Amino acid sequence: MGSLLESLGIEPRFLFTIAVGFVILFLVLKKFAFGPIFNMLQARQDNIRHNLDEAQSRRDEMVRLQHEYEDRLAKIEDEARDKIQAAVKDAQAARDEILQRAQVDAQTIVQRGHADIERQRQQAMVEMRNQVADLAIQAATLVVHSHLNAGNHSALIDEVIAGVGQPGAGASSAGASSNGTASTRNGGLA
Amino acid sequence: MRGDIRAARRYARALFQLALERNEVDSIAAGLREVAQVAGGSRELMQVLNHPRITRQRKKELLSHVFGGALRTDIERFLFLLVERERAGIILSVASEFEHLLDEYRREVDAEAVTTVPLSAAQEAALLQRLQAATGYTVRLKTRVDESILGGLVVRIGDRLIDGSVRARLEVLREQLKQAKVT
Repeated sequence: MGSLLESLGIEPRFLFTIAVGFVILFLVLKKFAFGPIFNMLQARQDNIRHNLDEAQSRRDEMVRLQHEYEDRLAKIEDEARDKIQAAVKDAQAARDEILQRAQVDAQTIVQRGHADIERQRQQAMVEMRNQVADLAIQAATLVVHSHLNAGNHSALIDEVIAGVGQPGAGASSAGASSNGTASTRNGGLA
Repeated sequence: MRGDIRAARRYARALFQLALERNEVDSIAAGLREVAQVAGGSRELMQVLNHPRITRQRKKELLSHVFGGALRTDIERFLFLLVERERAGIILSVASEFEHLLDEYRREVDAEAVTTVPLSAAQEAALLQRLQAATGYTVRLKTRVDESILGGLVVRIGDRLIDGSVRARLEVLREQLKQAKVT
């Protein structure tokens, strides 16, 4: 041991002094410096751990919020889709109803038009028939007027006279001048 | 108007009843005819009699003045009664109703025959005979020529009408033609 120190050029006394000095320094440091330093380190370590924990928890919170937002977005999209589908359905129903009503209206208009046309046609036919009747009677009147001679007239008169008093001889009430005593006044005229 | 006719009938009946009771039907009828002739010939007289604002007294004076005492007193009294009851306006209807009652009483009726050519005497006699046989009444037949009936014969007897004219037959034909169904 002594030879090794010697070969290295270190005095054993010197070494001893250094050793004693170191021990003294150590004790002094232990007494005054180690406590606060350790405490400071510990505090720092705690602080870092705390910060790490906080960061972790924030991250977790963020992830949770992100999921929540994603869920909410998905839900909103679903709701929007449902609403759009409902609106489309409503619109289709409205369109169907409008179409149906328009068809019914159109049918009614067409039917009314047909009825109008038919009525006008009937009216025109009736007017035409009446005009034809009037013309026919006018023509017949002219023919009668020009063809009846004194002999015909007399024969016609005789015919009516022969029918007087017979049932269905063309007797009719004179209407405007009729009154309650007519029947008794004229006895049993047919 | 209808009320007037009913009233006229009522007054005529009452007067006729009175005439029958007194056995003065003919003279009262003649008096009424005279009144009807004058009243029917003067629109002014009827207007005055109908006027609501002319007093009854005034109307009576007017009637007395118009007929100038030529009327039988019972006819005049009857007229005054009508005036009293504000019914003077129906005098013509009363006279006409009275004639009807008289005809009914005597079983007589007026008839008019319308033809396009005058009836021969034989035709007129035959028509009269048939009308009397059918009604059981004595018929006073008048004849008239009217070419508008075209031919045949129209007889108006009392309130009845026997229309055997060519015009009526053509009208029936016209109605039948107008009844024809159109499609």
